[in-house]
Amino acid sequence: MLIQDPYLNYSLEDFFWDERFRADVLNGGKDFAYWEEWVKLHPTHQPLVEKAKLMILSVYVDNITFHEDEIQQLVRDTQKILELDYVDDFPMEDATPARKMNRYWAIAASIVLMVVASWIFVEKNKSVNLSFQPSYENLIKAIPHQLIERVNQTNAPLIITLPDGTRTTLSTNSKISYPEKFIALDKREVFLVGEAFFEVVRNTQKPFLVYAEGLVTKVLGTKFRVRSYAIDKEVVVEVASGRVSVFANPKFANDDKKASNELSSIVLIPNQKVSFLKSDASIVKTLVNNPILLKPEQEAKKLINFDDTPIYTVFAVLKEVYGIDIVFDEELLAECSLNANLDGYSLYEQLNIICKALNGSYEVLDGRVIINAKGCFKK
Amino acid sequence: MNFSIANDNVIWQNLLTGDRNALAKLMHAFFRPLANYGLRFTSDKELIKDSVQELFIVLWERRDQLATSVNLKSYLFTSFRRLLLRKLKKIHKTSTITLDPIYVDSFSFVLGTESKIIASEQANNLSNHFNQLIAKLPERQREVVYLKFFESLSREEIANILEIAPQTVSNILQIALSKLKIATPESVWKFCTFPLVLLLVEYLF
Repeated sequence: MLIQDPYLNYSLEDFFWDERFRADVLNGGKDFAYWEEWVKLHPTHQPLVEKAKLMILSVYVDNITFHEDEIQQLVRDTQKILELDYVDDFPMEDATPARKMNRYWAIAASIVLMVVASWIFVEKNKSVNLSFQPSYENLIKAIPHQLIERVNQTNAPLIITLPDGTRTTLSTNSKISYPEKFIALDKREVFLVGEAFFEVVRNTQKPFLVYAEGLVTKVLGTKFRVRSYAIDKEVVVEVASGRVSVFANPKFANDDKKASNELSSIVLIPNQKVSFLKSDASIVKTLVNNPILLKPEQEAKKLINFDDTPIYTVFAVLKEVYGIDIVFDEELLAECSLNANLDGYSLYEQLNIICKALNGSYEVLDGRVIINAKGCFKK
Repeated sequence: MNFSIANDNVIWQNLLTGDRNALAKLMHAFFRPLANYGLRFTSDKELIKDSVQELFIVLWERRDQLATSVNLKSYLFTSFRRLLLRKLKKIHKTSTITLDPIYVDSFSFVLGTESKIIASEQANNLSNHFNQLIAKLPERQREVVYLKFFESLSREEIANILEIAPQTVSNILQIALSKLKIATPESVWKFCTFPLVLLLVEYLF
C-alpha cells in the first residue's frame, strides 16, 4: 500500500504552522535541503513552499529590546552578589589577630564614645525635640552595629566602593555611613548627609536604602543622585537609570500622616526627580533640570530630525528618547505637524521650539510634561 | 548565543559543582529567551530583570539539591514562569492605586516583521493578518502557540512549563491551529514578485 505524502495536500497556512517545515526554514542550510529536493519532485508546489518560507522568515514576535550592556551589567551584578556571599561563609579566619591589634583602639573608642554619649545627654536635655528629628546623627544612633563613616572634605568628588560593590561618588562637604558588611538579610542601608551619586549593584533580595534626613530612597539596582545638605530646606533625589522609590521615613512621621495614606511610596523613573520638603515631609515629583538621552546618541540624533512629522509621532519619539511622559490632546492636535531638526538642543529647548510651532505652551506637572495648545488648521 | 544541548549539560554540571562562571554563562545565554517570555505577561522591564536575577540566585543557592540531568530550557522556563507570576500576583494584591496597564498579567504577544526580506507594506499586512487571528485566541491557547512556534519548544517541554499533561498540550494546539489556519487574503500577497524571492535566496546563502 502506498502512503501518500501528506504535504501534497498542504495549504499555505498548513506549511506556515507546520512544526517541521518551520524548524527547517528557520535553521536553513542543510535542514532546508530536504525541501529543495521535495520541490524538485513536486514542482507544482514550488510557489507555495516559497511563499510559506517567506512568511515564516518575515513574521517574528515583536520584543522590547534589552541592550547587550544592560544584560552584561545584570550578569556582573549577580556574580558580585554570589562572590560576596561566598566570602561571608569564611569571614572569621584572620579576625582574631586583627582584634588584638585593635585593643588600644577599642579603649580609645570607648572613651570617645563616653564623651559623645555625655554630650548627647546634655544636648538631649537642652531640647527634648531634637532626638525626634531625622537628622543624620539621630539616624545613625539608632543602628545597633558599627558603621564606617567616610567624609569628603576635599574639592574633588570622592569615589567609594561599598561592601556590596556599589559605587558611590561623594561630593564635597558630604558624609556617608555604611556597615563593614551588609549583614542584614533583607536590606542594605546607608546614611547620607550632603550629596552622592550611587551606581547600585542589583540585588533583588536585598534592596538598597539611602537614608537622608526624613527621606528614604529604595532601589534594587539603578543609578541615582541624592542631595541632602543640612542647610538645605529639601532633600532631592534624581534618577539616571532604572527605577527608584522614595518615601518619608515612617519612624519620624507624625501620627496624622501615618493615619492618612501619605506615607505610601512614590516611584521615579529616569529623568524624574523628587523634592522632599523637610519642614512638612511633603514630596513633589518633577523632572530633572537637564534630562539625559536614554538612547545611544547616534540613534537619538536620527530620531529627532523631524520632516513634516505628525505631532503625535514627535511626542512619541521624545517620550522614547527621554523616557518621560508627554500629555497632550491627541484629537485637538491631530492636524499638526513639525518640520525641525531638534538635534543639539536640550529637552526644554526642544519643547519650546515645538510649542512655538504649535502656538502653545507646556508645563511640568507630577513628573510629566503637559502640552497646552489649540490645534492646527488642515493644510 | 544558543548553546547546543551537550554544551548546556556541561555548563549545568559545572554550575552544580559550584562554578560561578557557569552560572554567569547560563544567565547570559538564557536572559533574552526568558526576558522575552516574561514580557508576554508584563511590559515592566525592571521587574523582568529582577525576576531573572532572582531565578539564578535561587538556582545557585539550591545547587546541592538540583537534579543532575534536566531539560535545561524547560526547567528554566518553568521556574521563571512560576516566579514571575507569583511576583505579579503580589503586585496586584498590594497595589492600592488603579493598576498600571503594564502589570495586567494576561499573556499576549504581537508579531512584527523583518522588512529586509519582503516589501514592508506586504510584511505589515502579513503580521496584521496573523495578529488579528492570534488576538482572538483565549489566553492559554495563545501561550501554547507562542511556546510551540516562536520558542520552538516540544510538546513535553510545554507540558512541563504549564504544568499540564502533554496530551492536553496537543489538544490545545489542535484547537488553536484550527482557528489560525484561515487562508491569508490574496491582497496580502499582491506585492509579491519573483525578484523578491531571488533576493531572499541571496539573503540566506
